[in-house]
Amino acid sequence: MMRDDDKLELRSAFREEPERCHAALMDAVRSVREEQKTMKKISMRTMLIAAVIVLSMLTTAFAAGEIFGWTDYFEAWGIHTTPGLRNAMQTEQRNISLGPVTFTVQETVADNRLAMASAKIAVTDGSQALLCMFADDPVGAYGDRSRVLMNALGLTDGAQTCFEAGAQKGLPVYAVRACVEVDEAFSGGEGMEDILWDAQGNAAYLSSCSLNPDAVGDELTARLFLRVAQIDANGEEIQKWTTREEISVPVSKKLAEKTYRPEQPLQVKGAQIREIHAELYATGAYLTFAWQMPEGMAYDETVSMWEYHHDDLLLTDGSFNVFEQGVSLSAGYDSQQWPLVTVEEMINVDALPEVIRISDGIQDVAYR
Amino acid sequence: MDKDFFVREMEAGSGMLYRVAFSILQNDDACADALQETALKAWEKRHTLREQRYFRTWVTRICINTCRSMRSAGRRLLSMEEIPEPSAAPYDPTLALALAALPEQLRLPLVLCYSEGMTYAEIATTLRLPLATVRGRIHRAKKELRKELDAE
Repeated sequence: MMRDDDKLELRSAFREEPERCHAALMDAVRSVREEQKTMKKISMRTMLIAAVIVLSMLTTAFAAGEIFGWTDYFEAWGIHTTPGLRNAMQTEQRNISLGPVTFTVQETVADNRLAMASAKIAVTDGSQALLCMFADDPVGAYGDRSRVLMNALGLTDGAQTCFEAGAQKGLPVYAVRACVEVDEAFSGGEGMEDILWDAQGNAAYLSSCSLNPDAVGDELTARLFLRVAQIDANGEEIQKWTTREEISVPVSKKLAEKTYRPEQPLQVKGAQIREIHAELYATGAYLTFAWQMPEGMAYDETVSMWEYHHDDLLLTDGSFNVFEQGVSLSAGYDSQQWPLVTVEEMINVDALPEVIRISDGIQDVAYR
Repeated sequence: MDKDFFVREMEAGSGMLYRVAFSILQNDDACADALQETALKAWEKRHTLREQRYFRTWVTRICINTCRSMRSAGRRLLSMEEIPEPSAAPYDPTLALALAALPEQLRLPLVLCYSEGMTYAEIATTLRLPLATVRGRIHRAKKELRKELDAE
């Protein structure tokens, strides 16, 4: 489906699959047995290990005229925004016209680690255009989300770039951005940007930025960086407009915290999770896992440990209900106190659970 | 998932899994081991695949994790003395070297996109990265690859 770019064809960078590799794979495949076995309750729940992968590809339909933003975006990830998060969001809409488009700031919210904003983007005079993040992206690059855009504009070839598709349909192409920014003193690192489209081809631009928890107080000074660039049929910017607008971002205070400990810690390849510290905000709960690395483990192995073992752990409550991933879609990793390594991730809850259970599919340990 | 489906899909995806494994391990012997483990792990975890239409991205992720675990466990990797089997398919050794010179963080998304035809969304789910990050890495990877090729 992907278009060759400057004749970039990477298949020729690989030799044909050697027969011994194919044989090793297929011998193993044919050796497996279909056994009748009773699924353990926890094993059934491990479907959710893949669900975060699977659910990010679900189609999300948008109705004409409705505000769409973070709730719709998270649904595509299998995350249902909690009442607490929705109540904490500033949703007073504000229109900002910039060049040929109008940005409608819709949702802003923050806790002490994350600031989020969404803005709807539409052509001001109501005419149709192809709104995109990057004009040289293939139109179909965003999977199911792209299909909504393609249906809205009558596009059929997902391998075309946005500027090619716009030229073919006689539509203006605008590359747009609406990114939340904070002062350097509040910044905690990288941010995230993404885009959705509705059935009319209007865009919702989602952005977030990491915050420095030690710097964020009751209020947060933030801005929205807005940019529009008109793109020609060759993919070149022929005109652009930018502005920065101050925005109000309510900061959710810490509502509760708790440290969970096990009777016997979960062990993975000699490393163990000693405890879990939880902090609850209106946006969700941040869980910080304290991993004790085993003696003799090399420092550079910790990346593998975190990324591929922690990532496969299943978190459930005391009744084996799986916690949804929180609205901070990334995890934090800190090895400054090696051999203690902390991994932080977010779960989507309105209240701290009594128990957090962790399973790797074989062992299941309760932290209380 | 029944065994017939599993056999069929793994046969169809064998070439892709080899290329993904080679992108990480850079060694055919290690790839053979990794593919064997991938098959066994995928069957063991088959109940984690919620919908069969996502088999490709699901098994690709298992393959990537398997290869990285093998590498971190210190299994034998690149051996320049290996004599590769002759290939009937077109092969560009210059492109192969340039691709191998990229850091894995850039090489893998590029391979998934321009060798295996995955969309950004599929790559994002396979690598558990935000879609914008995938896009950024592919963009950087293309630039770096061009630099490597220009330097040849």
